[in-house]
Amino acid sequence: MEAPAVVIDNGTGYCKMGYAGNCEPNFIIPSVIATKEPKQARKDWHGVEDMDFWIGDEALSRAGEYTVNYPIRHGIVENWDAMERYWQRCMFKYLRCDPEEHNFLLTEPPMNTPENRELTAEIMFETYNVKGLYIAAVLALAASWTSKQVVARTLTGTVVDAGDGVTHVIPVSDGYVIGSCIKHIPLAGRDITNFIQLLMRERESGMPARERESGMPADEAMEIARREQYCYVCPDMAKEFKKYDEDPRRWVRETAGNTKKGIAWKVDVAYERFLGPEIFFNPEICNPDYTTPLPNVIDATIQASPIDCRRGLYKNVVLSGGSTMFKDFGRRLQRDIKRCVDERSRKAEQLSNGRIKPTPTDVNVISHHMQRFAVWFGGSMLASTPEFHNVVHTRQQYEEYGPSICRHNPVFSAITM
Amino acid sequence: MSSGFLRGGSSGTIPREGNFALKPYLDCIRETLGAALCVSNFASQIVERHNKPEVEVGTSSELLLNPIVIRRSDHESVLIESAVNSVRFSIKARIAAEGVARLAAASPHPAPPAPPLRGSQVKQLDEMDEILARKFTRFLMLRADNFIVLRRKPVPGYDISFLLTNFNVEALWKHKLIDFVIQFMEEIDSEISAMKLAVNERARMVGYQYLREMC
Amino acid sequence: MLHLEPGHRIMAEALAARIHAPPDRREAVDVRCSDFGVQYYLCVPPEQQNVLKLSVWVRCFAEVVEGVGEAFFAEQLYPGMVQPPEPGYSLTLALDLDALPPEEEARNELVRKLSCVGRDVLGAPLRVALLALLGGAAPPRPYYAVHHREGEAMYVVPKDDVVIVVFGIAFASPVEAAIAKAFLHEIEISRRQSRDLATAPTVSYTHEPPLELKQLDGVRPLQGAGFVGHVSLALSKRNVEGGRLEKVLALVVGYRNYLMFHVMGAKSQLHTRIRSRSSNWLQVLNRAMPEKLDKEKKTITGRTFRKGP
Repeated sequence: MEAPAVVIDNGTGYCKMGYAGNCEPNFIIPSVIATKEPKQARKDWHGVEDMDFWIGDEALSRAGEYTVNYPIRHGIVENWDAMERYWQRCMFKYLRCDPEEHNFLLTEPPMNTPENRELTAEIMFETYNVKGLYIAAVLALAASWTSKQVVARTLTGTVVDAGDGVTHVIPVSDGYVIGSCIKHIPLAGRDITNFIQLLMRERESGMPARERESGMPADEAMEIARREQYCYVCPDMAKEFKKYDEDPRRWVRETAGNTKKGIAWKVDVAYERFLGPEIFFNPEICNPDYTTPLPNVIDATIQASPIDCRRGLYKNVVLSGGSTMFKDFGRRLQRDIKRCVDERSRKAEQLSNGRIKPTPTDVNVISHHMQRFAVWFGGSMLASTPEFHNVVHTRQQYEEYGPSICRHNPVFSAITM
Repeated sequence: MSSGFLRGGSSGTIPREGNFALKPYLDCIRETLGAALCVSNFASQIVERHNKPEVEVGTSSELLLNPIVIRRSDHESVLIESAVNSVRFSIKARIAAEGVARLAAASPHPAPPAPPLRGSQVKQLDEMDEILARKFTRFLMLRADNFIVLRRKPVPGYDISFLLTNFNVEALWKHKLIDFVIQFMEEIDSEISAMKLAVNERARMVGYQYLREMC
Repeated sequence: MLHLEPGHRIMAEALAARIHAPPDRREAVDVRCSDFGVQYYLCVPPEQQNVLKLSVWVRCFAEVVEGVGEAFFAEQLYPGMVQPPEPGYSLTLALDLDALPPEEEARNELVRKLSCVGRDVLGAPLRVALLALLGGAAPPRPYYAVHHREGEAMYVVPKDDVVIVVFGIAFASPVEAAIAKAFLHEIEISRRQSRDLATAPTVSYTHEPPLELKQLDGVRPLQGAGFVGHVSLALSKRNVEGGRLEKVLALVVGYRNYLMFHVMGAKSQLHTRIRSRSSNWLQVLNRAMPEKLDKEKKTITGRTFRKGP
């Protein structure tokens, strides 16, 4: 029986890993490594001291005795020594795979450098002797094919990836990322959490105080659970406020729990339900320095892209990442982008005194079930197709040509039917 | 401690003063290299506006000087090839010849000869030296972009090569450049022995811990 | 972490969620994963949420069954759970979630046991041999062979007072083979030299098959690219007495994985050293770069510093 490929998505905040063919990652753990290293003494290591380290939640819970660090910054690996060992644990402790028998599919952030791909390949092949390696970039698009809205399997589209730390807007044409047009927004999940907390603290007295016992504050963890459970995107902020004021009982939700020290607390969640995700559409309510709404950024990104692929990019705006999971997020985004586009057509018509009638542009924002780990899921899907074997870089190729083979990872052609 | 990278068939038992034993050799290399690095800008005689290291292109024999080999033992030598605007410096250790043979043996096609019965300790450690040295040089050559003067591939028959051009000599302090090469030769040797030691100590610890669990 | 865990985390988590869930809150599941060459498939079909099926694929299953007999799995190891195997798999176990023992402890035990299926299947011959040793029975068979990886094998040779386990070990990459050789060499030395390992099993490392194997008929000698050698462990009764059978079984069956884990760990360490050394050299090389002369220098108070004329 053939061993399934291993899919690892190393994100800035969380690492998603699992075997291809499953519909969700087997593990989602923080991208943290806790080491015990007297930095100078590394040269004097002779035994197995360097095996004394932890990753993921186990690393966070040992923050006191170990030095905790994040090997990945802004999606790019910064500390290769740490990353090498992080993968070691992923393979041997979490996935328990024999790397020599599995193909590996790793994901890379937009704008990853070819040098980083080489370094990744070097570790994967030299240390772990993996059977094959493929480094993939545009997996979120592939994941969107599970959506009912999608009729054609295309690799052209705009990926909106909102994770925990930063939000990217990535235009992709036929599987190739248009690197020069990528835009980043400094608003993501963490900002929503902070913003909601700020609002609630101002209003409610019963909020539990911040606790720092296990690395991640208890209320922050709670907040993550809450913001997706209660929050949603409203069509209009002012109307929504009115709705709440008229009938608070219908809209306000109550939430309760215990602090780590066992003190019970209870708070109401009111306007926060829609104000949290609203920061994507009206960023000025939480961040005075950044005021461009997400739909406008997407519009600007597409306008910056080559003219012949813009329609395709508008037609297929794909959501990815946990912070796009709010109810009606896609619908609001679609409406707002459509407004930008229609406004532009109207102006064009006006300027030409009605001589030019632009063909209306289709705007489609695609939501699907796999949004939260879209990137991982796309990887899992691609790695279980038979074509994957043709594009994967094998160990024999690596030994013959060296790490430079991994600079280029061909886009699957067979799957874009 | 000295490993097989520079010291032929050493069994790894020579104490730290091994570097003193190396000193005359390294001094000789330093002097020779200093003399060889009298290079000047020299444009191509054949193609207009080309300026290539003549030692690499070798278009005209009158621009090349006689190569010099400094040999410490059968297995250890350096090759200094100089030309009017560039110097190529290659280091050879014992691994070069054997490494090729072993690589051939490692490829799946020819059936490798059966290794000797329960190889003696010395033989085994030498194999480790060789592997570590090859790993090390390979790692460095992949990063040749950062080490401006390192060549991506060694000259055939040698393990690692440097290419020093007149531009390097103009941009860098010549004596410090030579210092770098000498320090490299000194340190790679001791580093490989230290690494070998670390692997063995680690191996013992790992074996101990495994059996400890079963007591 | 020096030792690998005996069970599989993915399996343990998925099983625990199903086994501990109250009947009205069960969820369907469909998970595939690998465990060092063994493949698992865990399935609770959505239309029949009280049946949990766990299938395993093991490379040398036929060989194991031939050694220990089909009844060993059906009657001794997993009584009442063995089903006809799912297509493509070697062994399928079914669990009726409605008929589980009510005690928390018994359920935990079940999770623990089922998350180690790979180890138990590969270790079945060893288990049989060790049980015979503990019970003082005569050796059930002259030997068992388990070719758990391509070009490698684990032989279990039961004797009257010891069970000898011989691993034929190979590593495809020459680097790994060299490191593994050092590891095997050192385990033998540390067994001989450490006083506190006096009660541990005796270890020997030879390139040729050890005497115990040579005496047997029908053992194919292992040879081939990257063959490293034979390691034999002699397990005596005192190693497995007092409820330590499970632990020893996990350690012995997992030896090859333990070795691979540490060989790769050793390579990581070497890479760390090489990286730090080459960044040192890079510094030395950069020192050869003359300082820019026209660079503006500032004094500590922030004023521009100029050399006098």
